[in-house]
Amino acid sequence: MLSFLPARAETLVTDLSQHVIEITSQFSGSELLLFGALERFATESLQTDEISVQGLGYDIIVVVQSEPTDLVIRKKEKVAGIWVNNESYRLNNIPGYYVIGSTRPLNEFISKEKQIEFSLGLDNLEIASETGEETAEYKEALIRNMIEKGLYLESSGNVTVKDEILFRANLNFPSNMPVGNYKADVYLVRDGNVIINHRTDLLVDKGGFERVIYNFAHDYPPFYGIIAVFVAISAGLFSGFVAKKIS
Amino acid sequence: MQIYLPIAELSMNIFVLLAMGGGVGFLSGMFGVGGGFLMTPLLIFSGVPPAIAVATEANQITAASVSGAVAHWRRGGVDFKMGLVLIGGGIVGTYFGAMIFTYLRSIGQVDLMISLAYVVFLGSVGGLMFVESIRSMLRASRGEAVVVGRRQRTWIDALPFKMRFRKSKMYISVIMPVAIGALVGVLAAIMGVGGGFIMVPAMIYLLHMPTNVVIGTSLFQITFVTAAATYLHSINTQTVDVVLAVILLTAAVIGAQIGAVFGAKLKGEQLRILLAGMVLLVCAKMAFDLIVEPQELFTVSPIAVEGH
Repeated sequence: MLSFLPARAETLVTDLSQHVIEITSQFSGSELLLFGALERFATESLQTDEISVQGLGYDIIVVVQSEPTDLVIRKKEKVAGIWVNNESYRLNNIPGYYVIGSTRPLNEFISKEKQIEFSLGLDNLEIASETGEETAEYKEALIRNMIEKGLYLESSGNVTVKDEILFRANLNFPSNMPVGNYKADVYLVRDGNVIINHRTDLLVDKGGFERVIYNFAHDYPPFYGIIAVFVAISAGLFSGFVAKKIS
Repeated sequence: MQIYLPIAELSMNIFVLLAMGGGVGFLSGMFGVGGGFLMTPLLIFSGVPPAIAVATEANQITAASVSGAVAHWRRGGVDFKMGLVLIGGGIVGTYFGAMIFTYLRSIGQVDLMISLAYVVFLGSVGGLMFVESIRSMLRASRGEAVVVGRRQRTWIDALPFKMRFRKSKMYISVIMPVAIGALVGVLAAIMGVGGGFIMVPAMIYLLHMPTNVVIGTSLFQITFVTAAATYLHSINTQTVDVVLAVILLTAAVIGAQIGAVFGAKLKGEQLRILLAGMVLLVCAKMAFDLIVEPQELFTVSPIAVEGH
């Protein structure tokens, strides 16, 4: 899609150690391995050894993000001596989770313009809202908030390349990660250009019992309410009965 | 060991939750109170979103009060007619409380309302209780006896719509019990408390109910009103976390049994002073968090969807 292929054909093969993260009762975050290889096919006119001569050093950028969602950001202000939420901004199409990792700091191998073009890095996240200074303040606050929650992360040096072919990145997901469809994009950059990119899908969903409860609460609120009351009353009566037996 | 709470959408240490449930259960058994006013703030302080803490506590209190209500009923300590009048008011109050809760949640002010409600109610009830128990301790040390006289007729006796309550041996207007029930209903919905700390004094001092039916009748009302609050929060905001409620109530039930044994060894005034101290402590912490400038002025949250 983005590839303007050079003379030699290269394919990027990437995969995740898991394509589905299930949030179950024991869930306390997850660790995933994103790995891949750069396959090189010598075109007929070229010899294999010629390629290695040309110097094929490249950098890898890995971006994992959840599908965009709408968020509200509120600013506290002092009103009558107490701190209350005052102004609020609705921010549309914001990833609830965004992590970017790379072999080196982005600025060392890819220009600002390219970073903006491919929306690479927290600074280049498109935060749609009214323009003006307020937006800059809110954008900064959003990113700070999400970093604090462990939902946004920008780091470098955490993607390692072996023998110029294999690469890997360890991805850590916190327990408060939003559920939904995620995409993991891998960008291969050489000489300041994005040569190839490749996308892998990832699904994060509540699993087992947790999903049953969550979906039930949201799909059938009246029944959930009745069952919650029923559970509480039977638990209360049962414990009263047990306590009476013991004492 | 971490446990993921499906509605709160966060993972917490199950032993911390059990300790919280057990600790509050212990105190509630010792003082003979529901414990919602301690549990809800404790959940908030430990990172559970306030709206979820309130709704889940309503659910837990249903469990905590139902066994007490049954025990009192067996001993003949429940005035069902009065209970039903209180429930009638309570359901209306809960309905409005849940509506206010839903509206404020949609405009991002529910956390503030919860904190303010706690500061106001805990502050006044805790303060009154503290002053009252100090006074009675002073009286006891001076050897003065409390004079119990024929009670004065007040404006409450002049209200219309009188009804006879045989169990309580009273013939009074239903307006006051309905109003008390409604207030407690609002509190159950917006604070995640049973409201016993308001209702019990109100029944004794405003309605002049005989003390032997006060606790049982209030537990009877609390069971139904918190059940209504649970139901309404489930429908309006989907904020009731059953998993959290079950963990807390399991520990609370055990804690309450042990607490009751300890409570029997302490004197009434000592208990009340301790309780008042705790209530004021929670109130102070809530007030402190409102007054001190927060480290982060901005909060990010998903857009709360009203209804469904």
